[in-house]
Amino acid sequence: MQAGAAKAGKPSNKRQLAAWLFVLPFIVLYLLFLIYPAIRVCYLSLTNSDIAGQGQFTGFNNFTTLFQDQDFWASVVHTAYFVLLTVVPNTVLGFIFALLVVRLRRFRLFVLACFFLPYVLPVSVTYDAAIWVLDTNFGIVNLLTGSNIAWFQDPALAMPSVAGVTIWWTVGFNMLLFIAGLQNIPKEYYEAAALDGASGFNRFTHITCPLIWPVASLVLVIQLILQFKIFDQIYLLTLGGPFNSTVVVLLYMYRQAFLQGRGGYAAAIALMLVLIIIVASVVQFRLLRIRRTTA
Amino acid sequence: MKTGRFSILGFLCTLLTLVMALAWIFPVYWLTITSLKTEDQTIVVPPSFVPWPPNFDAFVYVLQNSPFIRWYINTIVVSVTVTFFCILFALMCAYA
Repeated sequence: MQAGAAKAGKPSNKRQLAAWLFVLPFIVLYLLFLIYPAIRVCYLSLTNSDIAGQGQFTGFNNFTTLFQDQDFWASVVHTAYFVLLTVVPNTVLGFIFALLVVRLRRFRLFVLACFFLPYVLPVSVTYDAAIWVLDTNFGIVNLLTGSNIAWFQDPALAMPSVAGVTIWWTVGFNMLLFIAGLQNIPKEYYEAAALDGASGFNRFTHITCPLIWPVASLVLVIQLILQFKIFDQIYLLTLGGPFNSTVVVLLYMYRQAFLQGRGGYAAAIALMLVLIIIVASVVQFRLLRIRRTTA
Repeated sequence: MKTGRFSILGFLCTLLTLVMALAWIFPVYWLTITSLKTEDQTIVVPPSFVPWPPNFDAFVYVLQNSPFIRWYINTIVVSVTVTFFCILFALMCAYA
């Protein structure tokens, strides 16, 4: 907008006005539905408001309570555990699937569809499919193996099970990103390396891996941010149970806000989660950048 | 990448890919055929993998006992509205 006006010589007021009018709907919506709520959450975190937003200003009371809240730190640990169980496996599995699909000639579309189809399902359908497959009494896995493993009711198994369902659900998208990355690697590199006598394994480690790394680091960052925001699957599959072993930060926030009616406290939790995600993303971004320049 | 020769390793890789793909699609398949079973069939041991003849009672039940069409219209209204205004405002921003 600025550059266009400058190029046209004297920026006429009429053009400026037209430009602003065009941007206006977006700016109004953006301020109204993003910036204002964000500021409001920051303010609410300093009050003892209920869920309707009525309450007194209490300074940093919420945060001092939060730092001593065992349940909150447990939820942070659970979230970190979930992130650990999903981010790297999801990325690695996406990469493996991409490698498997790319080398196919027959069945290619069929395999691609099989891997990608779960991604288009809504989360509640994913939940239904997971229950029909993994239910303790009627799940097909337990029926076929004759076991009675309580996938979602055993405290030790609940989180890995939810992570497994999440990976099953979302790996297709990572696979697509990796396939796009693999197809962007020029064929000439492989031909030249083959002429120089590089083995298949060497071609993989010295051509594929470094050239796919930008895609991999992008997927890792996206995954990290996405998985910190875990809520839907937990809410549907375990509701935080068994014995609160799968209570994640957002579920804890939801409970505080909508079940306990502590709006201010929930706002404080939300801000802490934002802080955690920002710190984790920055740390990861730095680590990946360093790896990239040395690779 | 492509050698054109038949290799054991390549064959095993393809086989693994197909097995993984079938395992990946299986929950969706299972969900679909479960919807075509009667209530008793869904929990029968051993489970049947191809319920024949298919039973559409569940679909009939859903359509008759819930305002399913209404829910569908709601979904369509929301998605079309959101798409329309998203494109409209984004287009205006890009034009300005």
